[in-house]
Amino acid sequence: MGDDPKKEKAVHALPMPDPRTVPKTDAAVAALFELHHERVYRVARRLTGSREDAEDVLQTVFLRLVRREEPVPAAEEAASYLHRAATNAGLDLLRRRKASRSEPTDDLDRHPDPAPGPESSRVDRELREKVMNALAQLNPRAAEIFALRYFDGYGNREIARLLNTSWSTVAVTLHRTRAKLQSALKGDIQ
Amino acid sequence: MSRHDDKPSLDAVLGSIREDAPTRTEIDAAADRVRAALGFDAPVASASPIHIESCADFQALMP
Repeated sequence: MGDDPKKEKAVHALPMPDPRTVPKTDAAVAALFELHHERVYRVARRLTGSREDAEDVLQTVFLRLVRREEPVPAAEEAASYLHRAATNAGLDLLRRRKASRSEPTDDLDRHPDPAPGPESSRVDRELREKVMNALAQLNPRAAEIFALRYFDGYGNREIARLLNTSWSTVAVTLHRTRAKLQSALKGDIQ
Repeated sequence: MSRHDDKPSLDAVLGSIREDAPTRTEIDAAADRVRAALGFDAPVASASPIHIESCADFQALMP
């Protein structure tokens, strides 16, 4: 599973925005923001590899709720709803970036790691970028399933429940998506 | 070692992506900027913070 539920429980006691200063529905969205912004940011950051893009995703996800473009999820569904919203917004951003090719897909050069380790080497970053771009070009549903499984640690049955599909569909999708990524990255990986 | 062996596996790259976690400072700074952009108040430590412990608490915030 993704985030630690105990940690989420602890966050419930954090101070919230003063509801006297914002309309009630906005107060509900603001409350969701305080509870879940970290989850949304972490998901987006993993997908995009970029601080600026992750921040864009964070803003986009909650702006849609503020503008009523998406219904405000019930409290008990908020974590999974926002996790999926962040995943899809992150993948959308990668697709648009790939299509436009107007700017680099990571900002690690703009915000260099102060103590880069072996895993943040140039080769690693290039490979990471290739993997994410290849993933973003796949069927959106398959890309979402793959991201939930390999980046967020959801099990196949959890993904099936989350996406209202069968365990076998998830398993087959993951198998096919791995094969497609292996093929797309041929020459770069074993 | 062959040249093939020098290349990482797909699982190694996926693991690298999975482990790339942002710092607390980075998350907090991003949250502060987005809060400001969306017009949310910064969380304030008051004597009576809102506690959400149940669906009823959350629903009380809805119109």
